Formats: sequence, structure tokens, C-alpha cells
Amino acid sequence: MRAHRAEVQERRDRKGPYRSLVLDAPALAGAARPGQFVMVRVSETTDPLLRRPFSLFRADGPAGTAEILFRISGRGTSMLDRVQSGDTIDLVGPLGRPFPSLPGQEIVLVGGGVGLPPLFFYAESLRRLEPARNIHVLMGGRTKGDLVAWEEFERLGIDVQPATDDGSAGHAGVVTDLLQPFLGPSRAILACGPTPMLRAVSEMAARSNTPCWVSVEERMACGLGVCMGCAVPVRSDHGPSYRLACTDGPVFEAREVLW
Amino acid sequence: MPDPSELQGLAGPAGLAGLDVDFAGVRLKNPVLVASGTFGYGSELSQEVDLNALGGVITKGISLRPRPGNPPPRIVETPSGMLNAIGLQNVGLEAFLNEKLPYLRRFDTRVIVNIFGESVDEYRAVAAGLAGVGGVDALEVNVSCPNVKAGGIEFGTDVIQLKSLVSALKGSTDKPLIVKLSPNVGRIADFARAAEDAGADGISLINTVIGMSIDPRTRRPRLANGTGGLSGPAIRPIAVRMVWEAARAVKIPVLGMGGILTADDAIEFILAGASAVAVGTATFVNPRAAPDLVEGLRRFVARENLPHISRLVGGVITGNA
Repeated sequence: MRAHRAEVQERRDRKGPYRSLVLDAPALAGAARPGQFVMVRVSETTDPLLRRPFSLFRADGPAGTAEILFRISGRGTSMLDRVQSGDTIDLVGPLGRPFPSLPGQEIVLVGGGVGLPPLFFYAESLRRLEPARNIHVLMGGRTKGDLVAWEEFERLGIDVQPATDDGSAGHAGVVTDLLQPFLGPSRAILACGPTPMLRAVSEMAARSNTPCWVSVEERMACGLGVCMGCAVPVRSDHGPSYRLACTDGPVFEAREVLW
Repeated sequence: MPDPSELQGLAGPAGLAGLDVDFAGVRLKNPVLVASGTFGYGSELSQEVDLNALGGVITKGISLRPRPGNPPPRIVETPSGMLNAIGLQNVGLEAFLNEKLPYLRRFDTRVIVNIFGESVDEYRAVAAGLAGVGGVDALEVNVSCPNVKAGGIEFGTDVIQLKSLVSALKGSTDKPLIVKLSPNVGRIADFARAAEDAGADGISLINTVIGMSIDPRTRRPRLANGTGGLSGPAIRPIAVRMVWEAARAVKIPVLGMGGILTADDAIEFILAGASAVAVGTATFVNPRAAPDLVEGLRRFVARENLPHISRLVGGVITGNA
């Protein structure tokens, strides 16, 4: 059963328009893997009608808690922002295919904005399993405030390479400007963020034979594979076709996606 | 020896006495189905829904060969609804028979296969491929998909073409034929009658209402297809009106759908003349919408002291009180 009602244990105001909610959701927390997402009902009424997908930022099985981190960017997320500690929210998850476990590889995480939470979940889980594994995170955004979870990444002892469009933190430019030194077949890239960024990362990975997985963002109605709304163009044995971001993804091997 | 599903309908473990219906020659344990294109091929929601609880499953539209569907974006949310232009992405007849139908056959529920073609010949080929196939209880003829270039809605918005398609299909199958009508017509009663005259065993309505949404900043349609089909509670009043008009025009049973979320919504359709109802977009919001509706209808029947839900069919009171 993937449908849950979860109490909001804590609401965390983060930088700028970013918020996170810590949820008391033992079944979800126990089952969730990095890269998976939940569909959250933001209203009890019919407007807005559809649930909103959010990547998991954290899941702590023993504590029974899961956390989602989101950016207030529209009506749905504004409504979710009104949720207070003690409130109950209705969610379905964990959904989708997680990031792969990559034994032995040096891990390079590339993301920006709300693409960072699932990468953090991956980093934190991997740190717990293998404290010695080399993990780098390349994070980009328009401005410093978009570099979410920077402190959390540093607390894990992970090397953080920032880039901002306005130069307010780290390299002034896009995150892929920083990627070149991290390419190579002994490394593996996991990326999540806007499509132009994912496309650029995929191309660089392909040219350098760096294994690469991307977590894509698509509009979806159900998250369960029945509405078929979240089509992702992919290569297949019989030419171009579509796969579903919700059940075939959201994580795809980068070389599979037709950008 | 009575049919076991009939026994369950009378006094099943879920106590569903008073909800079993006969629809177009298909015995349903309750009048709740899941609408085509909103429940995949039945296995996707196995964690949330026990298919044995449903009157029936109407599959995603099946064409002769697999269809990739339309490019994204395929959906956009609208007030109390959504627009979709999926473009009938489906696995095709052969994969449906080999990979999808065996799963559905494991359940004590009715399976209605929604069929689609770009031409009369393709519709006939799909119907012929399903003729005599065990576990397929009826066919729903999709003449109302607004999101494909050829076929579909062109048959559903022209009375002459609709008649000739349904007549042709009657000769290609032994299964009951349910014709799914488009709301994108002026007089729905004419289309209901045309389906009945051509030999349809039942009609279902409404499919989605053609709509459009434009992004003011990019000045482009929000759907890659340009237009799409509107579904959800936003279309419910249109659907109830059309079911009412269609049901009065024909003797064959009507399957009503369009924005049903709750038992009260379903009762509206039944009072308007529907013998059974289908849950569509609601499943996207609540994966358990259909089984919850069965439970809601059971409670409604009990609360109203009705011997059977069929007592309500067409029971809307339109004169002065």
C-alpha cells in the first residue's frame, strides 16, 4: 500500500522560496530509496485537482520519518507552504525507480534547485553505507539561494563545487562549466535538475564515456503509470519511443534519453 | 448451477446486495467500472485496488499495432480538471492478449476492452482479434478520442460514419458492443440513437471535452498537441446533461461518466439515466477512488432504504413538486 496520511512533524523554512517538511511516515521512510518521489495532495478541494510530485530529500527508516524539500513556485506549492507542524497530509509513495547503487565508482552528483534534494538523499544513504566513498557535488543555480542543502552536504564531509549565474557564490556561470575535471569511466554521474542542464551533462558524459544517470522532471497527473501523461522520449530497439517518468523513471540512464 | 459472480452479487462477502446490475448483457457485481485510459491494463494499481471489488475494468484503448502516443507535454491541469493529449499510447492487440489480459483474467471482475482504429478495417481487425477470447466480456468502441490525427472522433461526430462503423463491428464480434460517445457534438441524442439503430448493446458517455490552454508568456499551447481532452469534475454537469439526453433517446443501457469523485456524483448520473458508472480522472487523485465509490454506493443504498440501486435509474424528478 503506497497511500499514506502523514503528520507533519516539523516545517523548516529554508533560504528564499525553499521549504521542507519532515513527515512522520514509517512505511514510506522504511521503503523509500534515493531518487524516488511522492505524490502529495495539496488541497482537499478539487482546485487544484491533481497531486504534486516531490522527490524525497531524506528518509530515515529507524526514525520513521521522511522529508520533502520544495520551492514555492506556483499555486500548489503555495498551498503546501501553508501546512503547519501537526497537520496531516495525504501522500502516495514511494514511487518510481531509484538511482542505481554503483559499487566502486567515484560518485559525481550534479544538480540545482529542487534537483538537489534527491541527490542529497543519495549522498546521505551512501555515506551511511560506505563512509570512505568519494562523493562530489556540483551544484548550480541562478543565485546563492538556489544552492539548497549546501550545509547538509558539507556536514556529510562532501566536496561541494558551487556555480551561480549571478556569481553570488562559487563559479560565475553554469554548473556544467565545473564538470570537466570530474569526467571519466571510473566515475559515475547522477544528475537532477532542469532539462537543459541534464542534456548538457548527458552530452559531456557520453563524450567522455562516463556512466551517467539523470532524474527527469515531467508533468504528471497520477504518478502511478496509468495516466500516461509523463512521457519521456527514449531510444528503443524499435526506434524512438516514449517511456513514463513515473514508473519507468524518474531515473533513466542518460544515453537512453532522446534530448 | 448459478454463476458464482451472481451469487456474490446477491450476498457477497462485501455485502453488496442491491448493487448488482445487468449491463448490455454483462452481469456486473456492482455498477462501478474504471474508465478507459485511467486505469492502465489493470495491474498498475494492484497495491491499492483489489480488482475483485469492482464491477469491471475498461482497458486502455487498444489498437491493432502498438502506438507510441503523442510527444510531451501531454497533460496540463485546469480548474477542477485536466487536459490530456496522450494520443492512445498502447501496447497493441497482440501484446495485450499475451501480456496484459492474463493478469486481468485472474480476478472476479468483468473485463471490457476499449478498441480503437484509424479506419473501419482497423476497428474490425481489433474486434475480430478479440472475438471468442475468454475473459473479454465486452468491447467498448472508442469513437471519441480527440487526440489522434485519424480515426476515433471522426466516427463519433458524424452520425452516418458512426452507424456504418457499428454495423460493421456487429459482424466482427460475438461480444456485446458498447459505443463510447463524444460530447463534442450538437445533439447527443442523435448519436445515441444512431449507435442503437446500428446494433450497439450499450452506450457510454462522456469521453473528454475538447479544450485548449495557452501559456501567456510563451504564447504557445500548453499541450504539444495544441488541443486536448478535458476531464475531471469540471465536466460533470455537461456529462450529467448528456447522459440525461442520451438515456431518454434509447432503450439500450447507458454507462455514465465524467468527473465522478463521490457516491453522490455517481447517483446524479444514475438519476439521469445511467445503469452503471465509470470512475476516470478521480483515480489519478485517489488511486482507491473506484473501490471507495463502491463502498459509498453501498452506504447510499442502505441509508436510503433502497431494495436495489436500479430503482434510481432515470429517476430524476423534473416536473413540479
